[in-house]
Amino acid sequence: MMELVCPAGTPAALTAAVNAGADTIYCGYNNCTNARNYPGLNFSQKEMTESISFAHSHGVKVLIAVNTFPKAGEEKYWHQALHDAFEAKADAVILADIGVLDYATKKFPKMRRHLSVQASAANDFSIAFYKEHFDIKRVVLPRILSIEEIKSLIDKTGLETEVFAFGSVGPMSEGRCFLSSYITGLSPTSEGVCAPASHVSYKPYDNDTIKSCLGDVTLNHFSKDEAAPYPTPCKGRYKVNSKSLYLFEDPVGLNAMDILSQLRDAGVTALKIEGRQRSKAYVAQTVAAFRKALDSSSHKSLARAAEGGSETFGAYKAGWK
Amino acid sequence: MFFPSSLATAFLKFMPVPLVQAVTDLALLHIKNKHPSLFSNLKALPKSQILIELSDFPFFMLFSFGNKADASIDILDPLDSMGYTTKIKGSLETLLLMLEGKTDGDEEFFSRSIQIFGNTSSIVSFRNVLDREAISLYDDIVAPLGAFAPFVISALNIADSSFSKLSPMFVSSWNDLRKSK
Repeated sequence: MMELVCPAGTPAALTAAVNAGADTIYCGYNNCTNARNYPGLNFSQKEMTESISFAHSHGVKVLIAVNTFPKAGEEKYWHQALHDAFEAKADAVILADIGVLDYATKKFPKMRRHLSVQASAANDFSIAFYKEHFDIKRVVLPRILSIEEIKSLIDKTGLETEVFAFGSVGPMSEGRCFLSSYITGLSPTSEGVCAPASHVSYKPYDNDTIKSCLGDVTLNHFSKDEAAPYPTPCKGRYKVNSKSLYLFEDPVGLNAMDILSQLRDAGVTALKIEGRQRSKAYVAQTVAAFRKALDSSSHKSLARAAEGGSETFGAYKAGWK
Repeated sequence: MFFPSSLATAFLKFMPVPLVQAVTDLALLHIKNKHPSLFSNLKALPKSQILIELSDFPFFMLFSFGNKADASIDILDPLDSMGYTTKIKGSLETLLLMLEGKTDGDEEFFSRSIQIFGNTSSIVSFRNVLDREAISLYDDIVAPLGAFAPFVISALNIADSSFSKLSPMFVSSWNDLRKSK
């Protein structure tokens, strides 16, 4: 049985995930050390300790994402997060930066380490490096691999793998995307803020059309009956050769529910549901649907919860183009 | 526990502004007593004013919070000029479901059931702070009626069910009446 790894942006969402049937929950601290550093979201150390205790009492594991990249001179926040995760009795930490991995390996050798998708390790040489130097126990694979490529990686590395089952399609090179920071001056990779709300605005355009902007840059405009994507530069619609098109990524959500048996047969250890920035209602709905699919092979539609209201298998079926 | 949102919408729709304001203030007070952490978290946020434009309601609501001030809701006539940082547009029923954490705000946004205008910082902060709480309009507002609560909620649910079937007719008649004045 594959492990169901579920998101929690708040203690209430963590409770919802436990009640809906999560095997494992991932979450982060309310600061720059995690890649979902949005206002009002995430956990204080007190909330983390209490939430882990609650999850453990229900037989559910908790992973803490410390998966951003420290700026020079600011390592103390990442070091503190690792100390706090150890004190809170996290089942593992999810890390991306080599320096943070090194610190965790030396200071907390017994604390289990997973390699974050933010490290963008998509080949066996890279994964072998992290395994050899930092004794990582699991790698979260980027969303650019086909099922055949995932199977090949598992065969070559012998490591546990975690793949995304539901959420964003995930553009290009995760952990190395700077599109948002060119516009806002705030970094998704160092500060955990892609398209921060403080820079996002929506304005009426014409004839019931709404325009989404990031800073002074118009990202998109969509008509009254058109599904709205997230206001990130990768989901912007740009004019190329006089044609308006989604240049980087279509506004559709990844949903691997129909190919769970193929992922299991490839040797995947864990399925990850994305969405720490989503509500507890989303967490309850998606976790329950995947729990049911894993336990009974029956499927419940999640199309409305998917970004843009439509779904895709992403790279799993066709590879990355 | 089910909250009779169709009936609540209809009830509010036909009430004068001062009465809607009084009911809103009372509801806010009950929620505040039940969820003090929500209100202390809202105080800690930057000053924000969210204009709530209810598509099935003849008034606007201006929700103010942050900058160490107590959160408040002002019921406004749409013709009044008003300052705000963000505007959210949707049905009262959808917004009540979001308030109770029964539907996902992003999902409602993708499907365009709710629309957002202006800067999104205040509304994202509010959504995240709100989602930490387990708000139940039944528990927070109806339950204080004590032993009478089950009877009241049963009556309200029957009325809600009936009204949700009849409301198009009521609304049509009401609109006709308003136009004729």
